[in-house]
Amino acid sequence: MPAITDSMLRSWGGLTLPAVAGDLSEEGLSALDPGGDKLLALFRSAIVSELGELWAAAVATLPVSHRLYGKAAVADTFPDEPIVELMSQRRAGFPLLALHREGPATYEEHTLEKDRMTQQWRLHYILGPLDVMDRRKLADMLVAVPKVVALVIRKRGHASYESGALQFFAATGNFASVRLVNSQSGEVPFAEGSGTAWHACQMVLETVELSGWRDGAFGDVEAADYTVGVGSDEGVLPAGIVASSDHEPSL
Amino acid sequence: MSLADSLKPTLYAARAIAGRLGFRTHTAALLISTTSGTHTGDGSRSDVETPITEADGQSPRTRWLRADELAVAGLTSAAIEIGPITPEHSGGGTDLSSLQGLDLENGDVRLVRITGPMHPDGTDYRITGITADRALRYMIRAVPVGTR
Repeated sequence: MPAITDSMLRSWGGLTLPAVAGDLSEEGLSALDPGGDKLLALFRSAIVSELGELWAAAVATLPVSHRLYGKAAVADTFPDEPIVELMSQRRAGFPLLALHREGPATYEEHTLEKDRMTQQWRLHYILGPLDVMDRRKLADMLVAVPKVVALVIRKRGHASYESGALQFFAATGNFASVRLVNSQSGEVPFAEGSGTAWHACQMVLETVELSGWRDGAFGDVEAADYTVGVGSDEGVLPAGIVASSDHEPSL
Repeated sequence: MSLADSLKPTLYAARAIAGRLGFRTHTAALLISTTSGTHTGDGSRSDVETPITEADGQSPRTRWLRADELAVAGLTSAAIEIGPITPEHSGGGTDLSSLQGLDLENGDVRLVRITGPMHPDGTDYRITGITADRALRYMIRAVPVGTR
């Protein structure tokens, strides 16, 4: 643990304070928000594991020149919003899995000591342009992928990712919980108005991140005495509740 | 050899005249950036800059379609058009597949870097369209990324 300075020594989801130079990785400032990359990798691994074999058999029947011929069930991942301003800078493979935070995050008190941040995300599974024959052959993938995602969320992990380690618990950092809110097949952001029908499924997720304390932020509690006043705006009965731990408090 | 193929070398040379006379104030280069990590931007970055040129290394025309200044010191929403660019032929020219980024790997970034009086240190643009429906020329449209 870094030397105690002015830091609050707090954590919130994947954020741990203070953030120090040693936290810088090849992913830049991803140490400030590592959860998204892990979710993306988890879902990619699960989709390829659960649907990859059947997908491979299906695309093997496509013409060799087809964009999707020989491609894995997830050929590329993008940890950002697939808008034209970004997609036109970067070569993308399809099917593409993209994940990004979306919309406002709400902040509430979780307990007297902890806060809760609730945030929506959007997970895109983009097949690409399909003609009417391709669509019949492949579009049901857009129905299966959200179901796989929902089952992975229920299971809180997948055997193909980090040996099945559970991913979403209040004690694991990152996300205390994840849920799939809804899914919808339709247009993709970067293709709107293009005149070409890009086939994709968009899934809205909701995550909860809880605040906490950095390990070692406080010393061990040896004992505690509680004296609680009980009352209302009409008056307070002092020492209405008195509690004491089993050990004498140390001086 | 078709008429178009026989005309390309002539146009390639003709399109360099304005540059030799000093009328092409800006240069355009295809910028391919690769990064070593898992996702685009992760890890160390490697840039390859390939000038887009006509004969004698002269630059094609770069024309600003509009130039809206969003903030002081050069932040613009300026759309540009580069061209006409002579297609590849036996004497030179530009390979369309390189402009389109067909040989790139997933995650590789393709931009166009414009350098000149408007952008003394070079500014990167993302390609919004490539017109290749004419046998004797390509045209590139691009808008600034805004990072330089």
